[in-house]
Amino acid sequence: MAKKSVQALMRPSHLPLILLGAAMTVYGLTMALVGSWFSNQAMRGLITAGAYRARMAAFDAAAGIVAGLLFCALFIWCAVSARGGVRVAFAIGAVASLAPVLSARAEELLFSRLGLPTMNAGSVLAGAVTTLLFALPMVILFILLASGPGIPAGCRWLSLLSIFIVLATAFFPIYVTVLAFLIKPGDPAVGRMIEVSSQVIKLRYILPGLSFLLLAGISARFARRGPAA
Amino acid sequence: MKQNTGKRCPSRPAILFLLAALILASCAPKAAEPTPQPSGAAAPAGDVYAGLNLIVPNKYDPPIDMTSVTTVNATVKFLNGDDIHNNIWTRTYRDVLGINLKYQWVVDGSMYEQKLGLSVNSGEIPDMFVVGPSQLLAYQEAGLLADLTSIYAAEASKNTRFILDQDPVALKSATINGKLWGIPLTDGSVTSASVLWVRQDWLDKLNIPAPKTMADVLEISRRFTEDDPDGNGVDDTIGLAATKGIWGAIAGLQGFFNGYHAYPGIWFDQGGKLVYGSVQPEMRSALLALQDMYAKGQLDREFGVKDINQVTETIAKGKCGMEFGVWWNPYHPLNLSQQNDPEAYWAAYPIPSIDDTPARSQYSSAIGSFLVVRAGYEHPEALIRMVNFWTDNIVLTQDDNIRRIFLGDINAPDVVLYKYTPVVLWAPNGTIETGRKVREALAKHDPSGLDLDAQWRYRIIQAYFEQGVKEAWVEVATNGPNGSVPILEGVLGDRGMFNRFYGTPTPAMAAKMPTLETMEAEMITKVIMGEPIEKFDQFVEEWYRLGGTEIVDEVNLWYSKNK
Amino acid sequence: MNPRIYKLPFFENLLNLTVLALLAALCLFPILHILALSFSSAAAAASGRVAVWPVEFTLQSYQFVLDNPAFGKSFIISLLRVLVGTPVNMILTILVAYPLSRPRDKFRARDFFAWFFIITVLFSGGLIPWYMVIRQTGLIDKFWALILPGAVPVFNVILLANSFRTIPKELEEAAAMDGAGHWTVLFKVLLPLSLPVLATVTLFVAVAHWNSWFDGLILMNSPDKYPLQSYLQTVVVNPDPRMLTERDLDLLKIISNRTTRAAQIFIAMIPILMVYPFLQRYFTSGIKLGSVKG
Repeated sequence: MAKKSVQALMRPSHLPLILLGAAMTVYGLTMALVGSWFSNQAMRGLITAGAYRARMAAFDAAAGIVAGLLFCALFIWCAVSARGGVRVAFAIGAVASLAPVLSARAEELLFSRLGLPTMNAGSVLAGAVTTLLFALPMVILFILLASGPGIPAGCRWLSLLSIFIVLATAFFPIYVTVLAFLIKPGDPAVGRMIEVSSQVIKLRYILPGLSFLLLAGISARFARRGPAA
Repeated sequence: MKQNTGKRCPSRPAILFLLAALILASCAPKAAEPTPQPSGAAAPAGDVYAGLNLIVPNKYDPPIDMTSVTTVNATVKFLNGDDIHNNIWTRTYRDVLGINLKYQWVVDGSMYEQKLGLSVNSGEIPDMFVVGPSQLLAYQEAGLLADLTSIYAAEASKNTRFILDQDPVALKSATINGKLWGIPLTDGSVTSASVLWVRQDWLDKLNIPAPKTMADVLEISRRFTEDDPDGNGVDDTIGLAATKGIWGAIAGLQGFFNGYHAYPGIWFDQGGKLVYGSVQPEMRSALLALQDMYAKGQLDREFGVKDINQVTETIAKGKCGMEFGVWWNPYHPLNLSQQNDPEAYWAAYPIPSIDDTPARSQYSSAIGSFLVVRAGYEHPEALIRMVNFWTDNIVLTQDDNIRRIFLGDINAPDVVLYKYTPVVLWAPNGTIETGRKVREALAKHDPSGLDLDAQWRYRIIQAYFEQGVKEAWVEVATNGPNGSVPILEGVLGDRGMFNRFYGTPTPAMAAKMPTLETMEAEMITKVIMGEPIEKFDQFVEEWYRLGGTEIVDEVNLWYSKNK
Repeated sequence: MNPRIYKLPFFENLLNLTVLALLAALCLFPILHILALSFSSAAAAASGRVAVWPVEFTLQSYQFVLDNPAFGKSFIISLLRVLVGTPVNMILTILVAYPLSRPRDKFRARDFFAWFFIITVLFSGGLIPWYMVIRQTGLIDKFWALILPGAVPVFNVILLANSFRTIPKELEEAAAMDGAGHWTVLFKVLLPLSLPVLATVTLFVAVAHWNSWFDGLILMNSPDKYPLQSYLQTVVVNPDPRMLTERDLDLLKIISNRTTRAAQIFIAMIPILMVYPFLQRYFTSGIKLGSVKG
């Protein structure tokens, strides 16, 4: 079989990918900023913890729906604009757009609707499920992009890198919370990791979003220049 | 002629059984007797104390002997083959202070008083031991205790005085006729004050504003009962939790009474004299309110037979919306309700008032035990040195190594090292101080400079706000900016009612108070469950008649000498 | 010739069975509940979701209980106590009951000794004298302190002596005519005919030894010598709610850990439950009255 020739990720333009990257980055930034703002207020005692929860839950739910729909639409548009393996990749990636929608409702879904037995550190489990819902499709997407035929070299390397970024930002916070609450409570080293993991959580959507933007950039440059001379 | 059929010889199996039993029995005592490890057993290799900079001004050389008695309970665990007779504390007393501490006997906490009484009465008095207030008085009168006044004045270190002075009544409660007979085991007093715990998620769901007055509380109680806050369509929730003991650290009702300016069970100053809270007229309105709540189904119909374990169940199941409890309730039992329902969340409020005068939360002195020395022991100052060691090096330390070696290692949270020694004095304001430090760090968003314990609490709160770990709410509800610990600071100020009688029980009190207290609890239960309020008036009359008058006189006699 | 068996009419039978079944269920329910609790998870137990069937099945409580060395040690001590204490008690009881059952003309000092024993049932010196006597006989903190102070339960002696008295004198006279002395009469005539009473008393004694907890707590100087129920007492006790401080939190968590308590209680119940059926037949064998002729 003839080796497939390398071509740009999508045709005719990379707009859908750019928009997707931008949307994800903006969503990540917004969640980070709003979350910091509220948590700062709460930690200083300016709002009660109850008020904090109520507002975060409301914001989470609202932003989640908007983001979820937007992501879904953009993923599908990307899939349509692409061909072959890339199309499959973005189609699978669309599943990840369920994650923002679910993040505010995870506990209710798991414990009330599905009737899982409640447990110590149940919110860690709920958080883990939501994260998995985002991370798994994204990882598959990047794997396909990294290994599929006919993809520009720069995109491959970036996708490879992105796989690790998604895995790290997804699982490091979960690892830290499990350590802190279930395995080694009181350990000061774990305490410092909590600090780091707070920041890592903010990067969960921002870094993949930037990744998409970069992918679009590399692919667009490739499309303009043609196969590297 | 004896007929020996030989068919059945009932004696033979019996004799064999008996023989076997006797053989077993002769082995039994040896098997059941563990060799008590003498405190002089070989010290573990390596100097545990190197680099700790312990302050020990005077070590006994040659070492002296001291006998004592102590309690263990089901939670006390040991590391590395240690036991109660040989552990880090006994080794420290021996190697660092020069005191060979030997326990004559070790018993479970619930039997301590009885066993001590039996021991003392049969003539076996330990050199150093722990007593409660009535035993302190009784033994002092019987001449069994050593006078510690001059020894304390001469040898107590600065830190010991600092801790003992943090609680204004600590030394006074151990003083009889102007002399000091024991070292009080201090602990937080204000930490026993009630705060109001409310299911905040229910308040949010039903859109009810935070409770500011007692009227709000009654209204909230009604809405929690009637408006199905758990959303399951069944009318199974109640507004307020109560137990059969009426008072207590979990679901106790004293906080409710405080909202009506009634202070059951304690003595407070009225016009220069002490009066007993349970027989004051303010109790009436509180009782009527509770009666009304019970009639409307806002209290558990069976609260009169439920102890704290069963009320814990109710709370865990998420059937109850409010309880008057102490600051640490989120750690237990309120955490159970969140484990069963991840959205559950309790918030603390200061006791609301029925009128414009702010309510005061009542609390009593936490001094419940004293370290005493037997009269005739050659080295009474040894006790003061042990106390000094504790206050100078351990309880106020910021050094994490010292904490790990003497208080507890965070990697082994089950092993609580300070339970191995009876000489344990806590800083009365310790909880409030920790809370203050944590809140300051939260405001600055910077935990550097906090000791390990406070730092960990900071991290938990951080995990709650920045990572959405809902289980961390217990720390937020206590040491967070709007938690229960800040409320205690107000109680320490002018929002608290301190029990002004903190002396050892007077003779009439010792004899009659238990009966009077039972009467009181019964009366309150009955009135709440529907009997006419006149029963309260009857109770007041009977209370005075059955010994109350005597007790009031004795208490005021004490008060005139101890203002 | 086949003895006629009287059969109840159908409905009476049904009624009997129903009532008996209900009573049996009533007795079984608490045991099943404890069993179910011991196999359930802690959160399910605390929220009261457990009835007769385990909720969120787990073996954790049993693991915790059986891993705890204190439980194993105290179990063995209780076992030894029953195995040694029951024969000691029974032998002493029999030896005291026999003389007390002889008629006054055979044993003239009988009334004196009877009162000697009965006074101890009516009056007691109190806790402190009891403790002092045990201390001065050097039994404190020894295994025998669990057995010797209670070695002659007078109530059982009275029971057994009365049972000996109901056995017809003619049997003993017949044995005496064949040359039987006191020992032979006791072991070959009286005891075999008193098997139901003996079995009952033995069971009383064994269960009393198994269940007693107070002497263990008071007379032993360290918790590793506690018999099982003393040890259980320390785990199952209820703390005074007025005196709770945050230092008691870990104690509170264990105490409210109903599943662990349930596991411990169930394990403590098992030996008695196992022994009972084997003694059943002694309760139902009748006294052979038919051996008296003429």
